[in-house]
Amino acid sequence: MSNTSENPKPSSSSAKMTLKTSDNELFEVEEAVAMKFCTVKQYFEDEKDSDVAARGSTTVIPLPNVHSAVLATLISYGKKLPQSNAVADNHEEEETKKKERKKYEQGLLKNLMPGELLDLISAANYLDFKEGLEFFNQALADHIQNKSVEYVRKFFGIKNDYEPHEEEKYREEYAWAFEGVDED
Amino acid sequence: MEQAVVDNDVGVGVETDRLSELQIEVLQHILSFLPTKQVFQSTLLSTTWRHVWTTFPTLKFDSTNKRNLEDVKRIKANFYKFVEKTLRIRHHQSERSQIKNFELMDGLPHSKSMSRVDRWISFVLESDVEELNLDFRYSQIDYILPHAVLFAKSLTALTLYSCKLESTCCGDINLPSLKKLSLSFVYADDQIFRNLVSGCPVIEDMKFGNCRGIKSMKFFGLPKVMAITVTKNDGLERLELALEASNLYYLCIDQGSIPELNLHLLPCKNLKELIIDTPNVTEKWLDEHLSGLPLLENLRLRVCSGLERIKLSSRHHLKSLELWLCKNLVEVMIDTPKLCRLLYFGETAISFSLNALGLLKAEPYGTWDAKKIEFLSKMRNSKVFKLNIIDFKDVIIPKELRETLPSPLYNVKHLKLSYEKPIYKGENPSCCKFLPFPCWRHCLKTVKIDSLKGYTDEELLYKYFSENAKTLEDFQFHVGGIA
Repeated sequence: MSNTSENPKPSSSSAKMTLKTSDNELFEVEEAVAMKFCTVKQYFEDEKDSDVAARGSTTVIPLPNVHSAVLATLISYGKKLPQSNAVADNHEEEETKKKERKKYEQGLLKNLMPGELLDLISAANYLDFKEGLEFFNQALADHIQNKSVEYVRKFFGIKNDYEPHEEEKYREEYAWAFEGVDED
Repeated sequence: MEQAVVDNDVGVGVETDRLSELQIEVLQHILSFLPTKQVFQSTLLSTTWRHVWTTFPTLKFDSTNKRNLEDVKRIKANFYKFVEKTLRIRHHQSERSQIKNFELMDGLPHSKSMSRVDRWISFVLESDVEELNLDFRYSQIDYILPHAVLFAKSLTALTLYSCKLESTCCGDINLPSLKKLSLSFVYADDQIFRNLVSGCPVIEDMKFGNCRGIKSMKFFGLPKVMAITVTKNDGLERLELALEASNLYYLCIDQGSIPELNLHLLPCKNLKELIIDTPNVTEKWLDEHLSGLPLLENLRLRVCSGLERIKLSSRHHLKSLELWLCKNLVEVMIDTPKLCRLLYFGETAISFSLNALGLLKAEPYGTWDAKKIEFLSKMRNSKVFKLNIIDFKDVIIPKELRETLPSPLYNVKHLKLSYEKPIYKGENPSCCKFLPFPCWRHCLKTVKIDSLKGYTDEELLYKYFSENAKTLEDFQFHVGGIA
């Protein structure tokens, strides 16, 4: 997926853009997918306004907060989303695409380490990639659903800086929130 | 990249706490997928998480005890304490954070508990609430909605279930931002209804279901309204719809026969879906409205006793038509290429003519007779056909008929039988030994049976099909599935 050419040729079928990651890797991405990253979209539109000559083909958009491995996953997820400019499929095609996407999503989450998930969320947030953020945030929520406070602390390396009596006070005063929740 | 940590209790975790470093909006988004109790528990992760909860934009409180724990009284008391504390703390914040979304489901035992709810609602209104959802269906009393709710400037969606609206002495309702209104089992009166219609200038979606006390409903003005639903409101005597140049695209009326019904639908040129159950619908009405409403795609006619004949031609643009229990219906002629869904529930002793349909669902009931077979044969051009039969024995077509009439669906390739308690949905065309066309026994390739409840003998069924369907390739039997 990464392409180290400095001057990508404009494709005849669909416009492509080049994104440069924090570790200096270049990604050539179709405009339709790149536009799902609203930060990129904004940058592109700003560039277009300021410098007509440099429009599209030679613009390299820098993403200093995103590592290449993370961007690769986000681009791959973005490609699987229904494209806004695609021709409307009939019902059957739509169903097959949906199934494919579900399968891809499951595969993606299965092998994902929590650290990687946090990287993806952080990057999706920086890129303002709404669909990606929705998906990965939901994935994280699914993981901690019904898990105890201790579990979540341990899992995400959160240091408990409450005094024991403070914590006890919370548990007592807000007792309802601790009722009937399965402790893992 | 992040170093992984392996912990015996939690498996592979994360070494440094990067979760807490994410923007608060992201953390709140993650928590929004979790139930309120767990969202609150995030407060205990570390002291830096406190403000995630105290500024959390959505508060959903549900006092109903699904797990049926024994100590109901104590749990209820804890619930009230929780809500009270949460709202008070937010109320006294120096920088009050908005409660965007507030939901409360509570069973009020007696009228003294109303004041508590009143207090909560006033806290919530002062926090510029946008979406308010109050559900008192488990209450012993009729909760009277505080007047302040009907003057809330920030409110964009109001959903009420089982409460009472009382007329204010100062009259009008003023909800300048309200887009969605849904009242179910609400007690109101004509004056309040009038005030709602005139007090919600940007309303888009209005729903009145099972409400009492309203005798007359007139929908007029309402420039932005897109969907109106009026169902099963007790005691409604007069219903009028007089919208001009409207954006209305969905209308559902389910009131049975009302003394006075005036629906001026022709100006609603954007109407896309119409569900209606009134004897006013006649062939003329239908023709007028189908021609006059070119964007109408889905039409559901229920118990339209004034309808005797339906004639759809290619100039009509309907995509989906449902006919339910129109008992005086005698003839249906459909010749429109765009129609891809037809649902019919009623007698089949009617003349039916169909042309070019993609999907068909028909539910004729009654015993098999020549008319019904003929009815089925009309369906043969549909790609997917579902026949729902109520009586178990209706699955088998009487022998006499089998011998004298041609098989109605002779080239069916896939047969899907669904068995629901006690309805046995299925389709069993007759055999064709004496007929020119091959019947299902020779064409049937797959059988899928979804069994919901009740007794089905898989062995017997499999035996029957494998013996009779010579070309059977696939037989599947699912228990607990739904067709």
